[in-house]
Amino acid sequence: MKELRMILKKEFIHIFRDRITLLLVLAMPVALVLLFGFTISTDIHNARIAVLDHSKDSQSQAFIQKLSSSNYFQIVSYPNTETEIDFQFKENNIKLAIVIPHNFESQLEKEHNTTIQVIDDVSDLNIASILNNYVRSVVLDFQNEYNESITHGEPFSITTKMEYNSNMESVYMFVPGIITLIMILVTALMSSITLAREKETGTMRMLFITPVKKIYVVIGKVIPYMIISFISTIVIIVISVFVFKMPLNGSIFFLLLLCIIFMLTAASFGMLISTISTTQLDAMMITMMGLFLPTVLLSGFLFPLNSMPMVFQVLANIFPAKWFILAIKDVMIKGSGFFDVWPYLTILFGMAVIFISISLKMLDKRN
Amino acid sequence: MRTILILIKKEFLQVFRNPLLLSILIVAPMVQFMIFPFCADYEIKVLDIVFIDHDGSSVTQDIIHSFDASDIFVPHGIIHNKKEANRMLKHDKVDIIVEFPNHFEQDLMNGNATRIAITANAINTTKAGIGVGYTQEIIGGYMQEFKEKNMVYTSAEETPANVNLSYIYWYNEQMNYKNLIVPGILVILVTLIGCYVTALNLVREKEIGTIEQVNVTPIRRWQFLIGKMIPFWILGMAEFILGIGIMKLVFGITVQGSIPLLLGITAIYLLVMLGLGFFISSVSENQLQAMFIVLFLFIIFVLLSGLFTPTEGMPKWAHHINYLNPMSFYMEVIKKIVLKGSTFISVQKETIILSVMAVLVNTGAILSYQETSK
Amino acid sequence: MNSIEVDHLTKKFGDFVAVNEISFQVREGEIFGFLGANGAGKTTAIKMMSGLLQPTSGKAIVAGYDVTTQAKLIKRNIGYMSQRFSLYNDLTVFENMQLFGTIYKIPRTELKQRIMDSLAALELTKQANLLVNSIPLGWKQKLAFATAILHKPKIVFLDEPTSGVDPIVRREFWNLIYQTASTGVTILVTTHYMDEAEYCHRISIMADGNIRLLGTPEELKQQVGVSTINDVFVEYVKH
Repeated sequence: MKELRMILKKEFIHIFRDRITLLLVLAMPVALVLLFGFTISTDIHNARIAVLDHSKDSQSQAFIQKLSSSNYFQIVSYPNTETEIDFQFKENNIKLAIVIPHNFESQLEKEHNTTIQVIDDVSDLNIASILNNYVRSVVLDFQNEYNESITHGEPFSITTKMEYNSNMESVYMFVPGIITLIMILVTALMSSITLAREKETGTMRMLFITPVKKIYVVIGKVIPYMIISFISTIVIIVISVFVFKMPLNGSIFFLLLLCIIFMLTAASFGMLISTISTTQLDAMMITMMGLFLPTVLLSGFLFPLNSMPMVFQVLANIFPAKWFILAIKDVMIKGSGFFDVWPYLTILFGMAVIFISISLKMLDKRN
Repeated sequence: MRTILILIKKEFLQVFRNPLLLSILIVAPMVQFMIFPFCADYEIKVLDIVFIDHDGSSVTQDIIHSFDASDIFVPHGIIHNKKEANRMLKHDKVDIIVEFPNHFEQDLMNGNATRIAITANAINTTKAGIGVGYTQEIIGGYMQEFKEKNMVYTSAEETPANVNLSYIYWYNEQMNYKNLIVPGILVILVTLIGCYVTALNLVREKEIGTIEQVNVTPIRRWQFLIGKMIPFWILGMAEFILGIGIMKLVFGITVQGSIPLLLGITAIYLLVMLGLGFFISSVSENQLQAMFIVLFLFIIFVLLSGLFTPTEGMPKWAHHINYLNPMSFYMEVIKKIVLKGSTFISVQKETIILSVMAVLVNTGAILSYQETSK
Repeated sequence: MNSIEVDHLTKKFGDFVAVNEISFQVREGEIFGFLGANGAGKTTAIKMMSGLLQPTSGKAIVAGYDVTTQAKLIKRNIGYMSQRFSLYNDLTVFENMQLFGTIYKIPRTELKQRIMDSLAALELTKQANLLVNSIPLGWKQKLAFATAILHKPKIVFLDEPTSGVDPIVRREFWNLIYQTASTGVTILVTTHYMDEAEYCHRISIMADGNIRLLGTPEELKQQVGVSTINDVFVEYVKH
């Protein structure tokens, strides 16, 4: 125990000497969460669109009015031909064009049926599908209003309820993801790289010659970064709750316990990386490829998991991030308790146990 | 000239003798091309839905069946218990609940007000928005038909009208998300080579001390930096051409515009990234610092460039910051030339901005590189 | 003729005074030794004289040029071998010498000849195409020295060139230094091996950034009244 304390002391001295790195490690999470929180939004406001109105009658005007009064669109041009639309897409950066057919009004009145054409720039499919959805809702609105004006109103209606996030805040999605990313960056990346640095510069050999148990050297490396990442996590949670109004419906203590368990998993992964890599570049690349990338891509934090090919859905299960994000969302947003999330906790803890035992084996082999 | 040539030779020798770096240069693009296009996809392809049917009539049955025809909805049965449905929503078993009230069919036939309730898990706002939109569309479509069949309107004027939407897709007819993400990978690739590898390269020479032996020679700092830059610039270009090849052969995406123009602008963009990499390495003391700074900038660049997230929803100030983001200009160029086949006229603004950035960043890199320490 | 003239040269890092107003002269062709414990300020002094580090105050003229204003000109006229081995490990012996020779603008054909001659003198001809990584430390040090004098500098700075190498190689290394000095090259060498100090024409003993003693080895021994430089050092510095 005394040995461990010595190693810890040495590690903290290193950390506090390299002030710039410490500052980077502490400031980066805050900057990232603020940036993500303020900039990432899957809602689109005032998308630039063009409207080609072939009929120019009172109903088409009413429809255009409906489009521009919605928050979604900003009509930047009224082209006369479809070739002009192409030009608008390429030069004027419009995201969508709407073509109102000839005789719009008379089609509505006589045939009770008309078709509005939507031209999507699907080189960005995300934006296109979000905008299509907006167009749909504007058209539905227009149709209902028109019908109400000629009949006695619809007897039938649909109500919608947005459960867990009635204001549709994008931040609900991103905060759990950012917490995960930061914990991985700080705990796994930092500890594996600093261990690799000691190998690269040869100081590791000096430590291993001393009677200090190897496992203490490794644990001593990992604990300080767990502490730093724990501080960062608390800061992120505070920012997301107070600045971004992220709910905290579950127990705060349970949330912190969850974070500690995930940190253990991340740290044990860092340990494993450091036992197999010899240079800082190695450690960094393995962490990036083996942990960072899967966290961004396969955790369900940015991209819907169940839309992916089966191989990747299965693959996602072996990375800790997916389980942690599920658990943290449940606790923060849905207010789940231990009985709801214990399976995730068990998986994370099990992963930590596996990683630690493999790295211990690897360390023994070196003896 | 001879000095620069020997420096270039030295750098190439070192790269080709470093198996790890080489494997990163070759494996990284392969891995990215193999994983990204399949995973980095926002398109909602699957929506899990459950129905609470308090009515159990033929109308509700029909509505529920009309969901079967959709590719996107995966029905999880019909239940009669709201609690059970909420439990499914809470445990992420379903994304959407559709609830039919008692006497739905009866009320509908008698012209009484009745309503269907849709509940969506809105933690993922995109998924919820699109899910609710599709659900409304399917139910709305059914109701339209139903009314036409079953209701007699007093006069032709009172017949409700139907406004349909038809979609035309331009610039990516197959509606392939890969068409956006694959060129995006090219951007990530050249950025990583440009910035990451070079930043770590120079700072590593600092950390192991070889730079001191160079600093004590009468070499000019611009000579040294150019000698470092050209090899990585060539590697970056090679990487980019490899990327275009994979894009064409594996994903069948052909560059719509002029390839020489694309290469020219890529060359300028690489210069910006190389300069940035060197600037970072000359201000940082060790590889750890350099890595953190690069990673930080990289995340911000990617975030603001609109590759993974739409920039349309960002606040004004974020758009202003984006004027400093070389990646967003380059992303714009790639989208325009690769997907839309734009000509130089359409990308000249981006080209000028990137060129100015290249000059500024590289001047900064040369000035910040200290051969004599204070 | 003096090839190095140092006058009240000082270097401070914040509050810490690494080198405190040192003054001395070194004659052309002289082997001048810098002795001192680790952290005495030897490396800092050498870095200032070779133009790697700006002095805080004081003056130093090296090969006729001022270190604060004419660092570029100094660099052209000196050779430098750093405390840590700083040739490229992933280049071969020949490639390293070619790299630095070219940077010093030695004409191509002459460079090749010089490299071959110098490798022959070191008996490293066979190892010319081996990666530096794979050769023993003693050879690496000789190689670093040969590279430092490849462009025929007027002054060579050697910062602890023999630390960590075995006594036989150290002996060989000093033979190289003598050979080089005999051609009129000035050598300034730091070491913490006291026996090596005896090989120098003159030595200075540094402690805490100050020069405590300066003179020929014989003078210093007489002055302190002991029989070896080691004893001089122990007597003078440790007490």
